[in-house]
Amino acid sequence: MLKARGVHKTYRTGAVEVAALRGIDLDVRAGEMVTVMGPSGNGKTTLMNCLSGLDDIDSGTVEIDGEDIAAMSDARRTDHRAGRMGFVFQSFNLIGVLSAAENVELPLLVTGMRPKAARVSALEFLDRVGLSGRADHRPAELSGGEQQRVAIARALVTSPAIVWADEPTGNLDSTTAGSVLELLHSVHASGQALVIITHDAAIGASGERLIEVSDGRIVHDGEPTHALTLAGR
Amino acid sequence: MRSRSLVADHPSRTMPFIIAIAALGAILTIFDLLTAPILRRVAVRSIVRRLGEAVLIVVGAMLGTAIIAAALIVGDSFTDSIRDIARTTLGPVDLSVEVRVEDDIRSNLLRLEDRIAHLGIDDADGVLPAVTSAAVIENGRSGDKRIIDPSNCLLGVDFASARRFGPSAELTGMSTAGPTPSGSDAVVSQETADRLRVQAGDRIAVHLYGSSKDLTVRTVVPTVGLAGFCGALVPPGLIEQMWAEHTGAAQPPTGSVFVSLVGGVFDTVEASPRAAEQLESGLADTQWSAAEVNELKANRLERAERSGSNLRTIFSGIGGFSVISGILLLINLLVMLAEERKVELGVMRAIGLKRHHLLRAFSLEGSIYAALAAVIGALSGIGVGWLIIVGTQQIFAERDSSFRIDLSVRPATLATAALIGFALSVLTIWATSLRIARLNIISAIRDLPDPRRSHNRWLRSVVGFLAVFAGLAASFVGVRNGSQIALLAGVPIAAFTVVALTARFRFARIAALVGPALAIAWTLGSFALFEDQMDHAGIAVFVVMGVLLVTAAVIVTVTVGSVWGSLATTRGGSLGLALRLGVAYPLARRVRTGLLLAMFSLVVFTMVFLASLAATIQGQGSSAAAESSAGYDLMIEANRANPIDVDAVGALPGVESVAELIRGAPEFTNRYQPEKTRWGVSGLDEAILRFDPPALRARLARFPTDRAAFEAAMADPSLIIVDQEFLLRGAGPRSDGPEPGDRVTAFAPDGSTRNLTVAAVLRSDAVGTGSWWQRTALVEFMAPAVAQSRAYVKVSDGSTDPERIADTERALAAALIDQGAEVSTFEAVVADELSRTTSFIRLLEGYLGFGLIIGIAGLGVVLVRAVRERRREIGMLRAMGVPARVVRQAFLIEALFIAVQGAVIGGALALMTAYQVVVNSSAFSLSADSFTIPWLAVIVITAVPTVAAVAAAWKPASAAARVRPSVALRVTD
Repeated sequence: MLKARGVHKTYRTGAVEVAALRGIDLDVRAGEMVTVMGPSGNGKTTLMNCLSGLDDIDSGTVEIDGEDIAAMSDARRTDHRAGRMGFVFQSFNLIGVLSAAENVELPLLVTGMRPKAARVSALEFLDRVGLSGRADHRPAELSGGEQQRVAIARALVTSPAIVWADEPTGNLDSTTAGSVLELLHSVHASGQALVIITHDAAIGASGERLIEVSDGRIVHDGEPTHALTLAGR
Repeated sequence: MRSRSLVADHPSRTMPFIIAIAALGAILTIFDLLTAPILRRVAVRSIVRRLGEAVLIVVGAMLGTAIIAAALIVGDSFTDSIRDIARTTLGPVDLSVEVRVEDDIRSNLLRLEDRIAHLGIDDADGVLPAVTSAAVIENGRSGDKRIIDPSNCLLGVDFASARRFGPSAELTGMSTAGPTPSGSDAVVSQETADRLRVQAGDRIAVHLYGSSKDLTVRTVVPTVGLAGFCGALVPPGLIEQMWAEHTGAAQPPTGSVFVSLVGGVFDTVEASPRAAEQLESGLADTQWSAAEVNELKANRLERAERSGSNLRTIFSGIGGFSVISGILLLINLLVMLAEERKVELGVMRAIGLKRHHLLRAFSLEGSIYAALAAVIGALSGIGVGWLIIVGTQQIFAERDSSFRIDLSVRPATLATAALIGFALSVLTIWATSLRIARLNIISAIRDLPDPRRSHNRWLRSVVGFLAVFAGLAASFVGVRNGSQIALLAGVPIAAFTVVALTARFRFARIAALVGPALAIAWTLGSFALFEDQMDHAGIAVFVVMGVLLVTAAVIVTVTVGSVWGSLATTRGGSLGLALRLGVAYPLARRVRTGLLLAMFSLVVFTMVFLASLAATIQGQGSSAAAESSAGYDLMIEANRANPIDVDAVGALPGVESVAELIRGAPEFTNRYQPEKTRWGVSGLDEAILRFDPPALRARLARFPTDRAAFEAAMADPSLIIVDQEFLLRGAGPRSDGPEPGDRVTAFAPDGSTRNLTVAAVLRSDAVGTGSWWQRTALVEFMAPAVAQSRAYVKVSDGSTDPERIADTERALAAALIDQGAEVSTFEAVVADELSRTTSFIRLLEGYLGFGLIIGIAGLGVVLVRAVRERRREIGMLRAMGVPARVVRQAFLIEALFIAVQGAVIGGALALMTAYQVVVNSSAFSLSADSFTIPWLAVIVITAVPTVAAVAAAWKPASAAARVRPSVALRVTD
């Protein structure tokens, strides 16, 4: 489903150049759960940004179901994201002035769904993440775990092909993190591909496949138990 | 005789307070800059870090100072320009002693001169007898080259004596005038020469007292001192000779002995009252006991101060709206600044900085902005002031082309404006910083909203109830003693306090609707409910009114804001998502939205209000003409020394009837004007009542009709009918005015007095006829100082045939050209007068336009900061697939949403207020259907800033659309 070949990305700040990705080749199949680990500053988030279409790449190709998103215009790539990608971030990134239900229905409105139908779907997904009673609350009125569950509901509501989760439990205590992880596993169980970027070895090991990124390159692609080795380093 | 200033110089009363605030702000800023390196580093680096935005904050904060500086500069410029007239028209003349006209004016004056010279007046350094007379002067050419100056004057004086008068011949303007001219020569001022396009050797003709005389221009002298006192200087005896042959009721020549005091032109004012006293007492027991002593220069200079002060008051008052808008903008910017740095501030508190450190750090940064804004604003005020002066010059130039207003910039004025601007900014910064410094450390570090503070409920309730009580008491006291601001503001303040007190109750929403609604009803209804107390409301009342109304409307608007959110959700159409996002932020951030709305609404309110008044005044042109015309069609205005030959006018074809107006100017005092004040009065006789009497605003209850009041005044010389402006001096705000039943004392030139009762007050005196007093009484009281210089003409069948009126107008103008007579329809006179008023109002609107810049720029600045503040959220929206165009649209809709609401609130309230004022204020007293809504102006005033606000939002909106999601969402990698 996702096929990346020879992806390079270099950040330039004045005279300083940082090669964040150096020739990434990666395939993610439908319904697969992939975890991405690696030291800080070695390209994990850049990998997500470039492969999900959040950012441009300098060279290479990123095909989703045969379409090269790297070759798409920004507008087209934006449409593509709206329909095919879901995102969950460490800091939730909910829209502060919108209620939980409004946050969840937002991606549906982007895809052109009618407001009433969007609200019904949003409430359904909020119910699925156990927040049906908090639909009218704004993010500031929710706990961290609740906010992340709203974010997950928002990521799933359009039934995207791939859900990208960047340190989804990084801001949560262990109990809340556990329930959020459970929720993400249920996403995977429902057939969607899930890519989780994490520092947590337990999460890294909980996937079907582990990718280790180091110095902008994939240095391991295979057994998730490798996460435990990484944790021991 | 000298009158005192009626208008206090407002800034001078508050200046000590302003200086204290500004000084404290400056001391604290300098102290922290010098002694607190950490605070200095934080403040300075915060400014440098976002230099572009710092510039925008300074620009936003400086506009208020620029507006204050402009108001003060306009006042100064008027003061200085009018003061300069003392140099150009008086020179060494400080006082004059005027005597009644007698057969032998000259010898009488010489005796008086001798008497005054021997009185031993302190500080006097010269006396000079002179005779002046109003005159028509023409250049003696024919056809298109003929130029007539209908309202000039002649000065008959001995040139050698004139040159010796005062400290130097230069001040008299006579140093190059040569010897006293012969009976066939004249010396003219440069100004008159320019006007008539004549030079030395040319012929001019002077017309006065029914005869004409040709004179040769011997010399043209600079328009200074005595040479500026009148347009032409003639030999002694010429005026007297022409007066001796006069026909008709012409204003007689004035015989004066001028007195010069030791000093230059402007530094003799202090000695003037004592010299006047000495003159009055020295002449008391002589044949000149009735002579009128005038402190010509002191009065002129005082009038200059008063005019300047009035203009300062008007422009400062109107500019007050813009200044308030500027303060609201500053609060908004500081709140946003604090919001953006919330995490940093939280961390600073966490690592040990105390609240006062945050307060000082924030205040220090704000004070640096404020200081820069004060300096730049004061300097920018010069440009704004110049623009106003150019506009004013154009308005007044039509009436008096010789009056020039020169830009006058005094360093002290700039310093004052800068101090006021700095003090206002510093106060705003302190108040906002106090709030910011109280942040919750945990919430700040976690970037969460502040938890609700646990206020002392009892204390809060007690303070609240006290405020409610104080508000209600203020209105009650205001009703009782006529204190307009207390009356107006008391109830709304109580209502707003109730809204604040009930904010946490279940019925808070209802209170937030009912309270402001009550405040609006009270504010608007006060003109109708308390007609007497609210009459003659000044600019301060108007400013308070605008602030109360806008505050109430903004509270209502933000309370019902969710309705717009629902509509945006359900009826957004193709813009649905952008609409929802666009209104979501203003609805969620109610305080910020309220501040922005208030900022916008206040200025739109004032502009629409002024435009409505201008339109209504303009619309009154024809009715005001009809009310003043007494049923006549044309008005003839002649030079006061050239009486109109009524019989000749009556004999002209097309003229059905003529009413001649005898006019004089006695001095009066009354309950609100204790100083003797000269006021124009016309003689009332049967001819004025031949058709319809002039319309009255109010009359004594015993008169059932306007005509009955006029007939009573015609029969009873103890009654007078006064105009609306009777004894109200200057163009500034007034606190009182004439009412039927008022007692008035009139003073005649011979010193006799007469007590009169005001029988009625005219509705309008749009043609400047003044008050009406029985003709016989006026002539007896003032003779010979009365002139028959005006006449009303009824054209045969004129009322139904404008063509016939125009023909007669042309015929009369041609026949009366030697009298310097101007013939106009009443409509034309009124239109001319009203156009000046409406032009001035438009000038005020233009001045207020600078306030709109605050609103527009403010919205732009706020959105620039909003893009930064919402960067992550925008990134998330983009990550979710929200197209860049939707993000841009959302920002534009946000600007549009605020600007439209602000324009609607301001516009609607202004129309309601203007309606109340027009219908209920005695300044208008018009029927409801006289109120004119200037639709085009309203559309322009509301649409232009709205479009401009959206345009100002374009850049930040585009910046938002360009936000790259991967960058905006990056935390760490």
